[in-house]
Amino acid sequence: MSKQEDKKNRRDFLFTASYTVGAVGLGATIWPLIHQMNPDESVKALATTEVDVSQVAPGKSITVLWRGKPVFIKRRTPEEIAEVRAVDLKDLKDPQKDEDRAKNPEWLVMLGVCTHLGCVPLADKGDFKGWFCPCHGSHYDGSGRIRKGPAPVNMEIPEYEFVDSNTIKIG
Amino acid sequence: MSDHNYVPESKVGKWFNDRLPLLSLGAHLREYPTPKNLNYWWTFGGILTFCLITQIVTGIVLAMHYVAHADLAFESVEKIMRDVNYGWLIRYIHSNGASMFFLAVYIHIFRSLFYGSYKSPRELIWIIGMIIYILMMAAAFMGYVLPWGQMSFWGATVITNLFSAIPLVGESIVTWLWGGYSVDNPTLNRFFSLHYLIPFLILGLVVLHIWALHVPGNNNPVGIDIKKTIERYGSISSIHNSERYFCSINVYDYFCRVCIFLSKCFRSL
Repeated sequence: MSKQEDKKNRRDFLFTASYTVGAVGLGATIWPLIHQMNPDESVKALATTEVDVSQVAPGKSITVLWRGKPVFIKRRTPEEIAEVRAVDLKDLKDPQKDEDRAKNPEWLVMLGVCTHLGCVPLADKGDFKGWFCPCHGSHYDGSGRIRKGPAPVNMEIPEYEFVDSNTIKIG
Repeated sequence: MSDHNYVPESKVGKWFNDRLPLLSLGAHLREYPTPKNLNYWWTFGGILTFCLITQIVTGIVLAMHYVAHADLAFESVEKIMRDVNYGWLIRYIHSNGASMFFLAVYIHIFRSLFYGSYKSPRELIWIIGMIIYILMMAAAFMGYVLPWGQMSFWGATVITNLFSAIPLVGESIVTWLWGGYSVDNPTLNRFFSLHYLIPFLILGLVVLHIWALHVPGNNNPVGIDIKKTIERYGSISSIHNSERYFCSINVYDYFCRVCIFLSKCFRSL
């Protein structure tokens, strides 16, 4: 009896071991086939962009390309800053303080992609002195926050840092 | 196709099977009787199916990164080897896999010759197999041209020039194959298109090959017709379900992997 049981356990062990090795092999086969579609190292190496912003006058904005997407860099005037910081958070669809969106209040660095379906909003348009998306009519304010229209959330702030006072590194 | 009438147990299965007998096909493949005395040489049909699927899967992946243009083809292959995630592995499986595919097909053909598997009533299996073999050579040749290196270019020149030996029309045929007066971008483009097409033709012919096999059933080392001798043999085991079938696929698979590993080593020299 005990000998039979022993045999059975040994067989169970062999089955489990074979299935485990099989599963690992299958995974090792499938993963390269999936991973080949991910961005490779040569694409990742280009994933950061440095921008010289010394030529941007107050009240003006520039658009740069980062990872194939437009990034709006706006140098805001003191009045514009005061205006967006005075907004009551209760009026916002996606409440967020301007202080949390612009590290340096003078500079707004923002992904220029409408959070609705990915179009590029137009600058200095719309009802809130910010951006307006022509595709389905989303209005953003001077901080890139959604105020009116179908977009669900504020425009995204990418990771960025000031390398020096005139250079921004995005990504 | 099968001699027995399969009736699915579930109502849904029966409804489906009455309209499209896919479950009958599944039952046929599961219960297809094979001679008990088949040896390892009979596993190469399965190995070849495995090879074909591997080539198609890796080939579709490579086509995602390859550019079929005379100026960009070589660079895109370099990119596959250096940048694309696991691109080197996928390309080596595809290129070495093609060589292993041929080794397996020669063993398969040799098996057929040695045991007389091509004889009546299995002539059509042989004929379809030979068409598959010719298509394989065409696919392999065109695949060899795609990297657009020196060997590719002169290989394409020499092989296409074979057609120039045909009297009267030879030259015109070669010009037609090239789409110009030498091997050039139009040649590369059409070779890529055909290199993608042919494996699917082969896949279709493989279905016919297996269909034509399943009517008379497998030959076997002693050459007895099992359909007449079932009672004498008693039980019939299905090689498709046996461990040794998968075992030999695995051995073959590991053999391929060793080859790929060796090519990787040579590349880094």
